[in-house]
Amino acid sequence: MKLKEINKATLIWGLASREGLEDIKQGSSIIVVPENRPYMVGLKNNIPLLKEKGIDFIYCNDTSLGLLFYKEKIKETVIFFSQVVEEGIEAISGSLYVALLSKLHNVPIKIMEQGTSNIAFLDNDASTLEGNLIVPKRDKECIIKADSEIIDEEVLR
Amino acid sequence: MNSPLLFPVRLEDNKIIVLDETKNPFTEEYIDVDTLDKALWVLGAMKTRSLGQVFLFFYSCVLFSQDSDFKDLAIKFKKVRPTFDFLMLAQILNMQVAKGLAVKDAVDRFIKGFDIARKKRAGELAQLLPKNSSIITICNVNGELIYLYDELKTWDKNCIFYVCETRPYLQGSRLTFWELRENNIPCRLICDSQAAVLMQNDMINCVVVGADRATVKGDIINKIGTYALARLAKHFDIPFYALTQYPRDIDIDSVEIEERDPKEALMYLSDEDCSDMPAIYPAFDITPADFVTRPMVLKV
Repeated sequence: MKLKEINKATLIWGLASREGLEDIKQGSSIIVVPENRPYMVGLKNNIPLLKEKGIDFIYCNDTSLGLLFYKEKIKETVIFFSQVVEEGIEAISGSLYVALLSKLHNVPIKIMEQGTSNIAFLDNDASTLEGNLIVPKRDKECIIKADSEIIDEEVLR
Repeated sequence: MNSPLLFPVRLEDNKIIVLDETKNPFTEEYIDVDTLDKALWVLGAMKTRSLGQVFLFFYSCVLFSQDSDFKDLAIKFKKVRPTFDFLMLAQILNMQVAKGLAVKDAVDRFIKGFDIARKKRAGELAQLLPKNSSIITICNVNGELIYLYDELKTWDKNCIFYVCETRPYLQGSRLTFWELRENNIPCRLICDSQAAVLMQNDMINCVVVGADRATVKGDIINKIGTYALARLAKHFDIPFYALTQYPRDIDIDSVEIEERDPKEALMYLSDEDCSDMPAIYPAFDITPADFVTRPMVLKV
């Protein structure tokens, strides 16, 4: 598939819920599913759910998101959050990156409560991919752990 | 301080020796290139890229060109990697040869001059960076961050690099993070999407990236993921420096963005069920000049 084939897509980020995907399906031509590192939530959780529901999607690496916004391919972003906090929402690692890129490109952000999953995600930081080390073991100490992130209400507006 | 990535492609005994950059960090393997077809294959298979593809082109001109005009060879290289400006490399070499230099001498002179210019540029950038620099970077600039670290030390400045892993090929994890660690340079590895939270938490005070293409206006094309860093940096008022060379007077949006086989979006994953999945893998993105604080142009 090529970039030019994507138009007015909905970008989803975080652990999608079945109900949330049903909602999104109604108003979207296609759903963009990023890898969602480090956990690979996009690949391991969201894509199987989309396949199960027969919803069209396109997979990409997280690094492709900037270009998708730059080329105005995204019409809406949906972030699945873990909890509402005083400042706004708490959501999976990388959510601030996605939220800010959306805001900076005037793409509306919708928030939905995240789903549940029985999947044992094998990766917690950039040192592994599907549980396999991609850097020498001695370098583990130099990896920044992924953590949930707070997104201020102001960014979501 | 050293790294095989400073000179990833060499000419030895009528063969081009190419560091297989897809195998680092766990093995350091080299590929012998003795035909043009093989040169084009290592290029297309991403065995070498960035500075390596420049050296590969020049050494291919030495060994495989039937002509003293290198444009035809540049067109063949461009078919394989369309975003990079091989035609410009051909022009540079054509000009040197027209002055009466033998091709190999012209190439040797270029590579020597290129390396001196890289060190000089690192010195210029080091002067601009803060006393305590927290630099975020993406992909790999073939050892130039090592030069930068050396220069920062001579200015008595401290530095730590935050390296984006750079999916899907992981050049950040496998090349940049590795060469920094090998040289005991302070660094941390992050997932690409962790950049925003680090910037928000004041852990980053500058961005340094390479550039495959640049315009005289200051726009750049670089590894996919660069534009997002630039937009976020601007939002957080963090300076963004791009290491550029040979800027052209062109419309940046007219440059073809290479879209590689979507299967490569799944690089280094073992999940076979995903092989026919609809996916995209644009290899580069565009960062307009508005988001580049200063292009650091190489002065060869």
